[in-house]
Amino acid sequence: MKKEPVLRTHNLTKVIGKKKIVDHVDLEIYPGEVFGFLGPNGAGKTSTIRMLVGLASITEGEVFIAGVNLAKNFEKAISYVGGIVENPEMYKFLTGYQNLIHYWRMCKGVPKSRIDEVTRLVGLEKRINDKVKTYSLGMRQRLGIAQALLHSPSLLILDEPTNGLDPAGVREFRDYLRRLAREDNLAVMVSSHLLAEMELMCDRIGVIQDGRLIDVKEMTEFKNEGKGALLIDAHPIDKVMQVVEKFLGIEAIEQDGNLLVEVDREQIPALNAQLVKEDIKVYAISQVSETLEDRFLEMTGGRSVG
Amino acid sequence: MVNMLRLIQNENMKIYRRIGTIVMIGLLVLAAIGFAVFTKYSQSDTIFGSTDITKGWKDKVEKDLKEDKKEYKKEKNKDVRELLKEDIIMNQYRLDHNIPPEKGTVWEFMAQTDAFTSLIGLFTTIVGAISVAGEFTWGTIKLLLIRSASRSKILFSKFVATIGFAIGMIILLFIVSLLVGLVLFGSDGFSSAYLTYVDGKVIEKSMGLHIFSLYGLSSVDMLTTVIFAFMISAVFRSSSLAIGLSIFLSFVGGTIMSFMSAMNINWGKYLFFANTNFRPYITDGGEPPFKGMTFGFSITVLSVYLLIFLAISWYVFNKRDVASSD
Repeated sequence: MKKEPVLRTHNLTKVIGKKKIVDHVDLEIYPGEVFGFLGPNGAGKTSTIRMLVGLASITEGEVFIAGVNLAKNFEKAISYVGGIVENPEMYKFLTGYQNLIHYWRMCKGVPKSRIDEVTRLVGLEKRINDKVKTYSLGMRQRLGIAQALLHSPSLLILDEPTNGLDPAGVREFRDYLRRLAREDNLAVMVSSHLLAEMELMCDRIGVIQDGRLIDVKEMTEFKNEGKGALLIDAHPIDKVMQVVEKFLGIEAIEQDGNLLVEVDREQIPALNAQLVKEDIKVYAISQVSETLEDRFLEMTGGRSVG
Repeated sequence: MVNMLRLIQNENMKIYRRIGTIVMIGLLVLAAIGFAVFTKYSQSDTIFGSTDITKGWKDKVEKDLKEDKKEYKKEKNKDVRELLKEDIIMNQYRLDHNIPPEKGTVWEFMAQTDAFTSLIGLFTTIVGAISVAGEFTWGTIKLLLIRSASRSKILFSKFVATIGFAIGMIILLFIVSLLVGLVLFGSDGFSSAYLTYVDGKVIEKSMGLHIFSLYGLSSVDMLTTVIFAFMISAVFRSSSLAIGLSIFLSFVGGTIMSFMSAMNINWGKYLFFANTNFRPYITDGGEPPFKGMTFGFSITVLSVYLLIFLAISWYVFNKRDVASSD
């Protein structure tokens, strides 16, 4: 069941001067998914997003939002998009409510009651009539989400949304995004350089480096690719090492009193049986999944921005 | 897709909810009141403050009339004779129709308050400059432009709101000066008409309209400065640069012009600040700074400049990428 993509880019390219900031990027984002847009600083994440929301001109290629060409019919295409680019900057001299009124006046055919609805949704009802300059960063982030959702968009684009949020805020934000995607069938695009976070938040991840989209994969695929490492907690450790090395014919590494070996998934039961047969006390055998960070560094070669 | 009125409403909200704007409005009101008080209590040599201008004026005008007639007979210079003739006809008309001169009335005071339009010009420049550049410095431009409203519409709404601010301030100035004037100078002569002399005939005009046309004339200068500031603000995205440059130009413009005028550098008449003063063409406000300048010429030159300024603002605002974190 392939759904129609909410966002589709084709050969999206941005050239500034002679430098290709974004280089022929093809992206598709579907309803109900959280798409992570991952890359080191300066890789072209923000430049791509700026083009997607019409803040920057497109040098080459096309952007379709809900099937509408962004460059040809900006006002219609952008009406499907809600977004925050970088920090959610609000009019600080206005109250939260006045800020929402401001953006409400800019969308067509949305009832005024929607303002209260999104206010409740982001849990700002108690402070909505205070001036924004009294808000904490987390509250501004909530207000940012509220304004992005005001016109019930089909695509939510968030650029580095968790920047500057405390861990509790990040967690709440994450749950919130997942709920939006699941319950409202919203397509969410999140950019970040924070890998650990993307791991918890996204269904699919696209990795961008030097302006090129080098990989797009399901989150689960990402993690399970490559050989899994196995952590064996057993006693006595010397004997375990002997048995394992003999059984697998490879070297094992001791790590904090446990044993770390690389092994195919299929071999695990046999290895376990062998250990038990040798009279070794096995406390735990666990798979160490490679983190996204490892994969990411592997893919981008751990290179610095240049 | 989006209603223009709502966009203007937005811009108005952003103008009038700022403390800076409230301060500016307060300053204008204070300035008008202060000026009225100053005028009333400092100029003792005029009839200001005298309570009995209604009776006294006829004697004075009759006396003036006699003197003018005497002068007129003696005078040989044609231009001066013409001026004297105008005075004689005007004064005769006053006596015949019982219209006291505005001297010492609320209207004379109000005719002077048009100087405050330059203050309004300054404030409007600030409002206009912040209206565009402010969005960039606040970072809100990134949320403003990702809505279903084209950049042209947004810029236009900002322009309309800025001009609206100027008009509102002029009306406010008029009302405040009128009220303060009535309190300080009384309502004598309030209903009298303004007399002008056109081609040997005397024409009666409403005083209120006359004051408004004075304001209007002064506003031409203001409009130019504001549009200039608007352009700088859109191009350089810096409100301080826009405000600074506009104020600098309006100060230095006059000096440059009188210099060029004195040195007979005639192409100076094509500079925009040479054409912002319409008084020479409409009221008896002196000569235009360069030879060969007419009302039509100034209107044309000024319109071309303003159109260019607006076109540049529009083009840059539409095309420019909103760059990272500025």
